[in-house]
Amino acid sequence: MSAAALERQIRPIYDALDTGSNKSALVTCNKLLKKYPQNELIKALKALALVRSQKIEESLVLCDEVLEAKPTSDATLTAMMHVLRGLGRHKDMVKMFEEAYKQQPLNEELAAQTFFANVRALQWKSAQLIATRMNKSFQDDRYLYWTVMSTMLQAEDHGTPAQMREILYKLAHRLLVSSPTPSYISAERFHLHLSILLKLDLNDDAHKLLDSPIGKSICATNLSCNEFRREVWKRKGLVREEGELAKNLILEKNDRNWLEFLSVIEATFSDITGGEEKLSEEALDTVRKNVQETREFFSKIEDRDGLKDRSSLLAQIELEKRSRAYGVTDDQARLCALLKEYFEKFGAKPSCFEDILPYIDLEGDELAQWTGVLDAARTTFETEDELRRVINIFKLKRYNLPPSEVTHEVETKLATLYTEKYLDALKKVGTELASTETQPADDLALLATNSLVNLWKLTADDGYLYTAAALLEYALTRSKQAFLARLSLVRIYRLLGAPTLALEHYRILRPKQVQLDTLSHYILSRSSNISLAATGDLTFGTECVESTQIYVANSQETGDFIIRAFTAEKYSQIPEFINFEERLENSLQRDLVKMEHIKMRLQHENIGPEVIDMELIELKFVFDRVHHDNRDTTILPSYQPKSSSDLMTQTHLYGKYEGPGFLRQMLKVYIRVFQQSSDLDDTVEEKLLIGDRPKLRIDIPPDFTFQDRLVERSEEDLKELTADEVSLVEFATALSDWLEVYHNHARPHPLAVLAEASKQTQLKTGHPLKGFETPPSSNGNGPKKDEEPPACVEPPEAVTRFYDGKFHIKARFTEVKDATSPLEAQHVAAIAQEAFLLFVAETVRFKNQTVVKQNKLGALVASIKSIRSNAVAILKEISTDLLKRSEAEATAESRKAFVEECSIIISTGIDHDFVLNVAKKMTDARRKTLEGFAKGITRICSNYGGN
Amino acid sequence: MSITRSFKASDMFKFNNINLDIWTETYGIGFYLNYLSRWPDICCVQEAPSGRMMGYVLGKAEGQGPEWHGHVTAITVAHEYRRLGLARKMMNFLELVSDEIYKGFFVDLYVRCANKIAIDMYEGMGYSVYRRVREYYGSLGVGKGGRDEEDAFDMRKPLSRDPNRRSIRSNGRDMIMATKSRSDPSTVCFTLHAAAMHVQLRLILQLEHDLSPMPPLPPLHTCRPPFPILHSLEHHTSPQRPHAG
Repeated sequence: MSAAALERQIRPIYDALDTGSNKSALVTCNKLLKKYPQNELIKALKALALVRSQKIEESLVLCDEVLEAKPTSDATLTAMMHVLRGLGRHKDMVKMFEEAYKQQPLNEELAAQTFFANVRALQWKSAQLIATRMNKSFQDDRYLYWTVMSTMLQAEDHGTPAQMREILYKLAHRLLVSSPTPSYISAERFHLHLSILLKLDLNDDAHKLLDSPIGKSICATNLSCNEFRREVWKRKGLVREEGELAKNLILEKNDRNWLEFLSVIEATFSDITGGEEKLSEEALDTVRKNVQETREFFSKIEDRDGLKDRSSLLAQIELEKRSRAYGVTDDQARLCALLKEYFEKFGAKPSCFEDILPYIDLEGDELAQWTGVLDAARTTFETEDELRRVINIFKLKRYNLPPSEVTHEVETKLATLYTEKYLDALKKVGTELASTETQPADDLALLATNSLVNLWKLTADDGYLYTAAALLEYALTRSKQAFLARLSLVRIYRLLGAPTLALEHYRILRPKQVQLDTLSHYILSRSSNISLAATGDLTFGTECVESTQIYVANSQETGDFIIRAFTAEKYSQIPEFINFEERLENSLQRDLVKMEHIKMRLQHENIGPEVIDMELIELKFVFDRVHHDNRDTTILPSYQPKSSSDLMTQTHLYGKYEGPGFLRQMLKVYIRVFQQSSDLDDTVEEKLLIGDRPKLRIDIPPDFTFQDRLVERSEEDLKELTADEVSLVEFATALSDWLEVYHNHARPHPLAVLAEASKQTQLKTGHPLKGFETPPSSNGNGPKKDEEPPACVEPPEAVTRFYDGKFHIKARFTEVKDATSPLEAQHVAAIAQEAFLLFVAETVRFKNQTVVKQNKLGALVASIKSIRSNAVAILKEISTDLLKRSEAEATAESRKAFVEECSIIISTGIDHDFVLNVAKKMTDARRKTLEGFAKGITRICSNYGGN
Repeated sequence: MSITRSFKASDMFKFNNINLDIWTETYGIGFYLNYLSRWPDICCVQEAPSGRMMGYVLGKAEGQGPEWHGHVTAITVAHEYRRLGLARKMMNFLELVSDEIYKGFFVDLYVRCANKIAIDMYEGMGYSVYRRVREYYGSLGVGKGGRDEEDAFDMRKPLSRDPNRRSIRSNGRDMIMATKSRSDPSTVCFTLHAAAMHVQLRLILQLEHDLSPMPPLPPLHTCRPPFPILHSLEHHTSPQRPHAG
C-alpha cells in the first residue's frame, strides 16, 4: 500500500485523539497494527491513546518499544513527545530527540526540536551545546544567539555555583561579540547584549552602545532597552545628564512618564548623594540653587498641563520631601501648601488619596495645619466630583487619626458618618448608571467597613461584623460590580463562620486562569477547617481541585511559549517566561491548597493505602520545593488609620496568615504519618514511580537526611500556626515517635510489596510490572524476619492526654464553646477531628489481625484501642455540643439579636427588613455549617470508632 | 504620576485590581504569553509608584501590503485610576511603536457602535470610522441600542507612512461588512474595556493555526509533571468515593 493510503488510514486516529475519543483511537490503532505490526507511528499513537485513557502500564510497554527503535520521523517524534510528556518523562524526551539528531545531524528541524526538548526540560547546558553545533552546521546567527541565551540561562540557574556564573557570563559575552552581525540590528538582540554587559559590569561598553545614534533610537521606542539605559546611566553616575535628558523629554516630547520626573529630581540632588558625611556649605548652596531651578521647571510644566496631568505638581511635592530629607528646604510651610494645592486641584480624582499618601506622614504643627486644610473642606456634595472629594477627605483624615482617637466612641461616630454619607450619596449621585457600572459612593461603604472592623478588633464584639456584612450586602445590591466590597464581604463571612455565603460571593467574582492562583486564598485558606467533606459535601474539595487547573495549564503551555520566544527571537521575554513558569509551578498557594485538599480527603474517604500511598508520594514531591508566594493581598485597599493594622491583616481567619512555615510544618506532620502507615519505602517507590524526579536542592547539606528534616522543629514556622494547631503538631509528633518502631518492624519486605504490585498489575492489564522480576522463591511475604518484635511501651502522655488532658482539646472546647462567635469552637472541633484522622491513618496497619499476631503486637493494639475509644467519646461530646449550638444559631431570637446589633446602619436608613433578611441568611448558613460539621464528626466516629 | 513600562509575564500575578472589572476579561496564560512572545514591544503597563498596576495595553502588528497596521487588542485601566488620561497615554505609546518600529500604515481598533462616548474619545484622538461590522457583538445579545449594540465600528488612524491618508475614508459609517463566521476555530472573540470612559469594545483576534499544532490538552490528571504515577496503583486517580460506612 502506498504511503498516501497509509496516511489516509492514520488520519482518523489523529482526529479521534484531537476530539478526546481515546477509545476509538485505540480501536483504529489496533486494527492498523494488525496490518502493519512494525509501524512506529501507529505504535506511538496507540501509546498516546493509552496514556490518555490512564492505561499507564500498557502504554509504557509500547512507549519503550518505540524508543528502542530510535525513531527519526517527525510524526513519530511528535506523537512520542506527547506520550512522554503525559508520563512526566521529560528527560527521556530529550534523549529521544538527541538519538534522532545523532542519526541525522544535518536535519535542521530535528536539531531545533532537540534544542527545544532541552529548553522544555530547562537543561541549559546541553541546550547550549546543541545550539553551538547548530550554529556551526547551519550558519545562522540566530543559533549563535540561542547559544548566548542558553549560556546566560545556565548562569542564572539556581544550581549554578557563583564562580561558574561569572565564567558563563564571560563566555556569553565572548560568543556575542564574535557574531558577524552587530546586535543592534534587532532590539531584542540588543537587549540580550546589554543584559550581558550589565551582568559583567561592563558599563562603559554598554554606555558606548547606548549612546550611539542607533542605541538612542532603539531606546526611544523600546521600553525594556530603555530600562537598561537608565540603569547604565545610573551606574556610571550620569545622574545629571540623565536629568537633562528627562527634562528635554518632558518639555519637548510631552513625556509624562513618572520615571522622567524622578530623573530630574535625582539630578537636582546629584551633588550630595555621594554619601559624604559632612557637606560643604558650597555644595549645599549649589543644591539649593538646583532645587530652586527644578521647582521652577516643574512649575512651568504645571502651568502648561493645568488639570490635564498631575505629574508636575506631584513632582514638586516629591522634590520638597527630598529637600527636607537633605536639609536644604528654605520654607517649612511649603510641603503643606503644596499638598493643599494638590488636594484642591486633584481632590476629585479617585486616586488622590493614594497619590499623596506617601507625603502625609506629618507630625505636630504641620499635621495640625494639614488637618486644618481637610477640616475646612466642605463635606457636602451634589455632584460626582464633589462626592469624590469628600471621599478623599475622609480617607485622608482617617489615615492620620491619632491612636488616642482610635476608640470605640470615635469609631462609632465615624462608622455612622460614613454610612450616612453613603446613603446620602446614593440618592444624589450615580442614579442613572447602568447596572454594569460601579457606584461612585462605594468607597464610603468600604470606609464604613474599615471602621466597623476596627470596632470589632477593639471590642471583640461580632455585632460590628454583622453590621459590616449587612452594609456590604446592601452596597452590592446598589453596585453589583463592586468587587472590592464583595471581597471584603468574603472575608467577613468567613470570620462569621458562614463560609458558604463567602463562597457564593467569591464565585460571583468568577476568578479564573491565573487568578485561581492569586485569589483562591480568599476562600480556600484553612478551608479544611470549615469543609463539610465528612458528610459527603464536597463543595470546598471541588473548589480546591478547580483551582489547580491553572498549574496544569502552566505546565502544559508556558514551556511552549518559551520555545516560541526562542523561535521569534524575543530574548527579553525568555527569562520572564521562565520566571513566570517557576513561580506558578512552585506556588505556595498551590501547595497550601494541596494540603487542605488532603485534609478534606481524609475527612471524606476511607483512610487506607489507596489514599495514603498516593498522597505520600505527592507530598514528598512538594516538600523540597522553594515556594513563591503569589497570593494577592494588596487588592483589598486599607483605609485604616496608620496606627492600626491594615484591613487584610485584621481579617485573617483565626488571626493567623499561613505562609511557608505553616506549609512546612503540616507537610512534616503528614509525610511522617503517611510514611509510617505506608508500605512503600524508598526502594519500592523508586521502582513504582514513572517520570522525572524533582531536582535536588543544592542548598541542603547532604548529611541532613530527609528523615532528620521531617522531625526538625522550627519555632519560627510554628508562629504561623494557631495555638490549637500547635497542639495538633505536638500530638502527631508524639504519636509518630511512639509508633515508628512498630511500623518499621511490621512493614512487609519491599520485595513482597513489589511482588504484590506486580501481581495486581498483571491481573489488571495483562502485563507484569515493568522492570521487576518476581523472585522465584518468593512466598508472597518476602524474606522472613528474624529479629524479635520491639517491646510494647506505654503511649506517651502527649498522646494519651491530648483529648482529655487538663490543657487539651476537651478543656479548650469547653472554654470556647459558648463564646458569641462559634468560630473558635469550630476550629477546636476541627483540630480534634484532624488529630483523630491522623491517628486513624497512623494506626491502620494495626487493625489487621494477621499483622498484629505475626508481630506480637497485642499489647500495643490494646493501648491504641483505649486511645481511640477515649478520642471517640470526646469527639462525640464535641459533636453533640456543636449540634446543640447549631440549633440555637438560626432562631427568631438570634435573628433579632443580629438586627439589633446593626443599629448603626438601621438608624441611618437601611431598611430593617433588608437587614433581617441578611440576618436570616447568615444565621442559616452558620447553623448549616455547624450542624454539618457536627454530623461529620459523628460520621467519622462511627466509621472508625469500632475496635 | 504613572510609570510607563513594558508588560511582563509576571504582571499576570498582580493585575487583579484591573481585571476583576466586568469588562476586562482574564484570558488563559497562553493569550498573554502569545502576545509577549511576538509583540513584546507593543504591550505596556502603567504602574503607580507604589507598584500597583494601573492599566495596560496589549497590541499587535498585522496585515498584508497596505493593510499592514498596528492593532489595539486590549486596553484597560483600573477603576481607581480612571479619569487621569492613562488610556490616552497608552494609545500614544502604541501609535508611536506602530509607526516607528513596525512602520504600519495605520492603527485600528473596534468599538461598539452604541458607545458614543468611546467613539467621541477616539475621534478626538484622530481616529475615524473605516467600516461597520455587522453583528460583531452578537453573543452579548441586542440591548437597548438595537443594531448599534451588536455592530462594531472598525476605527482607524493613519500613521506617518500614510501621508495621503489612504487607509481611512470619510464615508466609513456607511461601509458595512459581515462578521466572519463565528464557528471559525481560528477566531477568538473577547470583550475588553477601554478605560477612562467606560468604553466597551469587542475585538476579533486572529490566532494563527500554526501556533497550535498540538492535539487538545489531555485531561487534568494525566500529566501534572512531575506527576508521580504508580505503576499498579492507577485507581488512586479515580474520583473520590464516599465512605464505605
